[in-house]
Amino acid sequence: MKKQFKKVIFLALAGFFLSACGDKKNSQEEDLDKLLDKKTKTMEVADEVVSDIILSIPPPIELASLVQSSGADYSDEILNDLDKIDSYTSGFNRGMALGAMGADLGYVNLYEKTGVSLEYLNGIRKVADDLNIGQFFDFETIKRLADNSHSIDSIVGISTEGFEKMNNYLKEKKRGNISMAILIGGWVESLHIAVQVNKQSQIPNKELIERIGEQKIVFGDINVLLDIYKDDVSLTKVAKDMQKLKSLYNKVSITYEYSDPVTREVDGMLIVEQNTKSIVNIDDETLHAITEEVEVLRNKLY
Amino acid sequence: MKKGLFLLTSFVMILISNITMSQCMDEKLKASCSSLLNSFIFVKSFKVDSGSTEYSYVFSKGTMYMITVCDEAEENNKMVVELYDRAHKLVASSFDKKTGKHYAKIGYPCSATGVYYMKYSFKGGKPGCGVSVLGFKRN
Repeated sequence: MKKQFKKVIFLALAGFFLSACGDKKNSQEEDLDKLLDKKTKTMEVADEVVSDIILSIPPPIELASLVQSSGADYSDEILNDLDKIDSYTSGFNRGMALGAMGADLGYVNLYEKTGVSLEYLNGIRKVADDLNIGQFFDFETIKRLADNSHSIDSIVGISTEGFEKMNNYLKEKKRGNISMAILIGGWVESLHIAVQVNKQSQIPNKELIERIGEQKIVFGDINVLLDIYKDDVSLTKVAKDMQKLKSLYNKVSITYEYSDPVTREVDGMLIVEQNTKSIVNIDDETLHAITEEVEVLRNKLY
Repeated sequence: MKKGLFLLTSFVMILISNITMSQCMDEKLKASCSSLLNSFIFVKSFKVDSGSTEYSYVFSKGTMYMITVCDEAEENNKMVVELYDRAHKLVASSFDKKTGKHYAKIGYPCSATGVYYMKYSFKGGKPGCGVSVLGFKRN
């Protein structure tokens, strides 16, 4: 409801702004000020909508966790090469790489590969510092926890929170395109991990294939965001690069069977039990094509 | 003299109001809400500083989620979260109408991947201040 309300306001303000452009005014100076003010208001509402959609997208750690729980073996060959760090020169590229390394860090942490984890942590620190957002990632605490073999869940949680803080700061500083780059880089990398693990699997992993197909929902949200940012040159290029993947995901369908929820109290917590099911339909040919396309896309993006 | 006192009172009230607003954004409230997650991994935090706020999130099948609800403990104005599925059908509420009990934690083992909606409001109907944290558990 809130999001819909904001979208209505956004469209109303955008319409008002556009109609104002056609009006004849006596003072040019006054016109410019008013237009800038209206444009700023329009952008502020758009930022809120963007922020809400970004908030609705799961962090890469969730997909990495599903990959791990599927019983797949760890493979560092599928991770993004840290030697490429110096090749990321623009803010946008750095954002993409930061998102990707964040996804890799989550994957590595879940498999408790402390040594590799520290390498990725250093990589993230360098790129985050280059983007002037390194202060929001608690590197020292994570390193200390990793060195002392503390709960991997705490390390993963603090890392995820660090990315949330970076995102909030970027929103505050109106650097939404960098937030988008981090989001897309993280999503593409986590999808890459999932499809590669599935590819390397000797027998078809039904659960993992289903998770790959379900990414259609998150990809839908990303496409909405890309549409909002259609005036951003870097993101327009990303949208173009993602066209083939979009057409492949159009072949995936998700259906639902609903059932009523039942609740019960366990140790002071309300537990909800529901048997509503989502059923993913993805054929082998589409899955293979998605696997190939994610590889191509990844090479283009970071 | 009276005018001066009035201005001073107004200034103090504005100052108190600003402090209250800034406390709503306080990291301490978020931290205490995160601590309720126990063995669940932090995923996202949601700030609620108005009468009614709705956020959406893509929940994944096979994942156990926990939604924690924390407010400023203002009497008769507790924060409530209602979870709705993709069809906007109510799945659960942190407030049990039958018993009048408020739950600070909702556990949801998701069986259907999709967009879910978390609608936050305050029981007293007044604007309030709260934080909600979403966590997940590895299988």
